[in-house]
Parts: sequence; structure tokens; C-alpha cells
Amino acid sequence: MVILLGDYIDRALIKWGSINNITYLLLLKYRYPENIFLLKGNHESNYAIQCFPYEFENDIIQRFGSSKLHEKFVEVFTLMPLMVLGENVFAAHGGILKGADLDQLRNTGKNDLKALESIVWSDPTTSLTFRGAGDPFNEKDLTSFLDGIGARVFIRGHDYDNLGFSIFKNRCLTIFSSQRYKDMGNGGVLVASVDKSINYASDLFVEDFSSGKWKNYKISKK
Amino acid sequence: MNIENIIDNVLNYPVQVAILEKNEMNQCLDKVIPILKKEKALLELEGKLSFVGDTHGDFAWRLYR
Repeated sequence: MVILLGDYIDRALIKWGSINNITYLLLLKYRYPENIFLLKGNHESNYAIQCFPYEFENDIIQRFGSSKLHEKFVEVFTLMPLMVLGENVFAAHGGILKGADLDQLRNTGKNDLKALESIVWSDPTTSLTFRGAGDPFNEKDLTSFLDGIGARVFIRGHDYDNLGFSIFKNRCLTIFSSQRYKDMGNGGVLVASVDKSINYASDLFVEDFSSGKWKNYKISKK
Repeated sequence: MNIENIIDNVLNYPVQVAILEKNEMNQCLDKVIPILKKEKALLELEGKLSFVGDTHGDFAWRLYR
């Protein structure tokens, strides 16, 4: 199973990159619904909490001549899930729901504004990335949240300051998979895999595409 | 060509996503909406999991085997 952590659109390296990327992903989802999962990022949440830059609506208008199709994309965005819990990894675009237990996670509404902001906008308190939204989490917030839901490791994207690093006692890894950010943070165009019970972020199998080939990548601690 | 053939075509030849027309895009989105509706905010998954980070319009992740 492949899980994408959100932010499919905006800041594309090539013209129409956003439209092509999200459309291709949604078609994969349609054809292989049990094999690919598309979590929501803050860029797919712009209808609820504005992000910058939000270029997607203009892209649609420029390519298709009206924003009608954008409205349908927004309907799709409202339906995207927010979090994944695997055997003992938790994953989401940016942050956690501080203090929540598993029952609360199971009953979270996809468009509950407070949950949405915490999950798609938050960074670790140590991040230097500037945000106008979110609910930053510290090491204690994270470890008690993970322990409470039976997870060991949090996998996230969103934050180029922590890109490629493990933080908070090796229990949180931040990855990006766009070539645009391959030189930020610790660098890399990364995919992280897990097929067994693990204890630390460094137990994940991580590969890097920044050279144009997939190569093993060693996570470093920040 | 019906929409299922168009979708297969795009999945087999991803560059074709760039030539989808407005009504085809609309039909594609209509196809995926009922599938996403069934998913909850929290997905509980078992088995081997691979995580892809922010893609921002970049296709590099697609080459992952």
C-alpha cells in the first residue's frame, strides 16, 4: 500500500504540474482504491484555512477556462482522509491531535476545523518554518500521543526545516517527495517504507530519488 | 472512447493526463468521489506501507517501484 501525505498541488516545477499530479493520483485511487491512499495537506484545505501560495484555482481557470472544475476538485478535497495508523506508525501531513486517544481519532470529522488545522498545519515546536496556522507540538506532546494510540513513530511532510531528519528521540520523521525541495533540510526526494513492527524512525527503510535513481538513504538526527 | 478506457489510457501512459479535456476531467472526479466518501478521517491499515511526502505537482515519486 502506498500512502501519500498531502500537498499534491501548488509550487509545481512545470506548467500544469499540479493539475496533472492530482488528477493522475485520483485516477490511481479510482483504479486501486485499496492500494493507494491520499491524505489531505494544507494546500488541499485552502477552502477551509487559506494557504499561500494557492495557485491551483488559477491553474484550472487558465487551462479549462472556468472555475467550475475547481469547485469539483474542492468537493474531492473535502472528502480526503487526514490520518493513517499502521501497525505501529502514525502518519499525517503535518501534526497530531494533541491529547486525543484512538477513539477520538476514529470519530474525528474530516472537516472538523480544529482537527483539520492541527493535522494539516502543525509543525514541531522546534521547526523554523514560519506558519500563520497550526498547533505546534513538542516532544512530550508527541510521545504521549503516540504511546496513547499504540504507535511508535510519526511520519509527516509539510515542513522543509525538518526534511530528512528524525527528531524527538527518533520518533518523528519528516519526508518530502518533490524534487523542488531536494536540497532543503537534510535533503532528499524520499519514500519511507515499513513492513514490520518498529521502534524508531531510523528503523524505517528510506530511499532517495534526488540523484535520479532510487538509493538507500540514512536518516540523521537533528 | 468511454471514460473507463480513457482512465486506463492515462494510467498506462501518464503523460496523457495532460491532454484530458474538461468534460473528461469532470467525469474522472465523479468516479473517485464515491470511493473517497467511504473513507474515514483515520485510516487503519495493515501490511507493508510506503509513505510518499509532499509532491507539489512533481511526478518523481511515481517512479518508485
